Amino acid sequence: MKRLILIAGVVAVTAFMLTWFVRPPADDTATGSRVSAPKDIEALSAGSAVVVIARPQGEPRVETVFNSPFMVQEFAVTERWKGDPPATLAVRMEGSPADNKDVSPQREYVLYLNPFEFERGVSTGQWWISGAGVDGIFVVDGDSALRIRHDPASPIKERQSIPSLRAAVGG
Amino acid sequence: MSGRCKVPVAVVAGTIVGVGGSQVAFAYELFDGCHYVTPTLKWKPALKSQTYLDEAQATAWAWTSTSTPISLTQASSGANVTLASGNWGSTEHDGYMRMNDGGPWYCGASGHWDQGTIAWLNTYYTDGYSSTKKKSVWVHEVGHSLGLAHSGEGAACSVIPIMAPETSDRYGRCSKSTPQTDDVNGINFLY
Ligand SMILES: [Zn+2]
Repeated sequence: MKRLILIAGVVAVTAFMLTWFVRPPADDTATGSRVSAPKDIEALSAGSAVVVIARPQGEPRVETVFNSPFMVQEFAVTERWKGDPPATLAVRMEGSPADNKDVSPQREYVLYLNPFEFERGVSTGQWWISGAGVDGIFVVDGDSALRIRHDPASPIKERQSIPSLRAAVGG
Repeated sequence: MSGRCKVPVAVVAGTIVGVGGSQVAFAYELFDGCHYVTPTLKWKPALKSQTYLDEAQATAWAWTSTSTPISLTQASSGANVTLASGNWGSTEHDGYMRMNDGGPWYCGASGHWDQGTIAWLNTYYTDGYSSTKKKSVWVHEVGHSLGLAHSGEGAACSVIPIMAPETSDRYGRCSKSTPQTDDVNGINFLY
């Protein structure tokens, strides 16, 4: 019996080590250097010009920067929590559409956004997800919302209630 | 998996080492253990402007001068690592590591990079940085090229590695612009 337990232990440890070593390629946050990161949902809200609930519409397009793909997806705004954005927003995201399959026209998202720029003060007409493209996108799931990008370094709680997100925006 | 500290477990040379608290960082965390075949490497600059050349050379030297086998020699061809600068826009990232084909990292079948890597500075931000702050980002990105993952976010400044993911933390709070003990240990584990 002791031997069985030992074998089970060795198998479990080996399985753990395998999952550690073969975890799938992480998103860009694994290799980017973030300028900084919001410490909590209040800071994420305060650092965003616009907070909305919105639904993807139409096909995404791809723009490349130094051969790296960025997906641009139109969203139709259904609720405005902060700022006074137009009815549709072109949101820029890291990666190709294949990398962003968790963005679906069947779902609604809470989006924390800032104007995307290449030149300071000159808007491109696109929007960037606050928190380095990672922290500020939640999928609406009933009364709560689930952050869809999984940066282990993010201090923003993965699941939050819609009222608590709304309250953190203030106003 | 949320919170300031990463999972406090590191796999080091086949031993699982559980460590608690924020005093110890984990540059041992690997991209599937992926790294270059050899620590003797060539680098080349691909810069938006020559004003970044001093920082690129300082970055290569920062790694070469560590107590590790890493040697980065400037070369005009056959570079393993490219130190590049260019405008990626307001992505809230001041640096990126990419493969030569432009994609995010992936490992060759042999457990080594099967193409060169590019350590990028995003000039949207770094044009406003001091020389040392630029170096902090570049040394961090080259750390990724050498095979190190993020570690040590929020750690005490006495132990924070260059692989801490945020510039505001690694440089703004702790003024680090060169490889630290944990980074060196990680490299010596890999090479
Ligand atoms: Zn990084």
